[in-house]
Amino acid sequence: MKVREGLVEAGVVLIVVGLVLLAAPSLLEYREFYPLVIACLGAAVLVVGVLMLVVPKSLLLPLKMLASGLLVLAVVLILLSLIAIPPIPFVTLRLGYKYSFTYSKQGSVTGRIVEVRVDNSLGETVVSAWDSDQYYVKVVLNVYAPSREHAERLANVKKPEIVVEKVGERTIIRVILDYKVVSPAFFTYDVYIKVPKSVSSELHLATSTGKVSVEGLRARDVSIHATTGQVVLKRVAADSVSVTATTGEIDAEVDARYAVLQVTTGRLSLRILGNISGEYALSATTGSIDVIAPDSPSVGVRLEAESHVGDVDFPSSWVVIKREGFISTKVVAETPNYAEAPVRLLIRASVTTGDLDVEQG
Amino acid sequence: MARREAIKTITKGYALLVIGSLWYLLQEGILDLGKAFALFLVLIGAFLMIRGSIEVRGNESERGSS
Repeated sequence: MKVREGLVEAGVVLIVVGLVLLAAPSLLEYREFYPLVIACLGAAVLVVGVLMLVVPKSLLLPLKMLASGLLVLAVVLILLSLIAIPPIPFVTLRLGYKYSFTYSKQGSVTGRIVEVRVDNSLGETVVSAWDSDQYYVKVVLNVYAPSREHAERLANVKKPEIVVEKVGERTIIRVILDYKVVSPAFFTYDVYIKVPKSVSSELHLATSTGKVSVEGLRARDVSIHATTGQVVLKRVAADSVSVTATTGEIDAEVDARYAVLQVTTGRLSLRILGNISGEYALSATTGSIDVIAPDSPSVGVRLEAESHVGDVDFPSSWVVIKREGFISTKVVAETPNYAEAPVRLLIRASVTTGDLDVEQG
Repeated sequence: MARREAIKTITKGYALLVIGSLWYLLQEGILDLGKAFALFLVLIGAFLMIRGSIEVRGNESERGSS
């Protein structure tokens, strides 16, 4: 019985969709309001459902029919949206051909600090240092569209905004990207920023599924957040580093006075350059942590690790100061030269079910 | 029976409300994909908890009255 009811509803939905497409294709132009209409229909169905709880039995059938009608209308709108728009919000399908549009800006740097702010959800963001005393920002808009005409139309409305402000000793570079869904196309931005080697940088970068890379930079503060994306730091020296990647991956080669690197299910790989003393707080819930510390007489390393189910491995030559627990382990160990080493690295690491592996080399 | 039908209708309405609202917020750029997905899980989870507890209470009162 239920299957038959479903078949009737499906039949009605398909007929209405077909009729709308035949009779009023211009309705598709208003598709940006469909989600709101669907939400309103949902609210109406919800109210009808609540009414069904309180009204006398004689009114149940009309209310049920009303709810069915509203549901059919909502499903029609969902189908029409999906016909008009590829399901971009849910599946990042790269449809059509790729067309690229480049925007750039270059200028002199005021003062000794450059602040960079970018939130690039899907594409790649690369910040690097160069020998020039100017900043350079290049944004590439990649549009995947059925035709060049579509791509150009989209590029016109999706131009990135590169804002550079000079406030006292500080040059602030902001790249504003509009990821609001537009059909029928899929698009991403790739952002490339170069800052002078001679200045100190402050980076505030974020991505959802994209990739963030920072190369050869001397920074005061590096703050990067990635949800499922990848974060790569190469030869970065900073006072403070904070990187979180929820299900993503962190691959860092840094020197920091204080660094916090966190992954939940991803992998965290850290190579400490060892030119300055610093403290590194690392955590992974189900992911793994691999650390390579320098093997040098001038560098002392101390490890304070906690693992609930996973393993903690470190070189056998290290002095074990404390080891507690069997399944849940707490370990404190250090290199024999730690007390007198001019450069001291303190690694505080915590894993829940993942493994921690510390090596020297 | 009527009560079960009503709860089913409320569920369908709520699902449409959540999907439509999140879709709109995503389209407007107010939420990113990650946040929208997290919010979707929270809203659906909260609804399932409420629906479950209402159904349990309903079953208990039906048993009590019979």
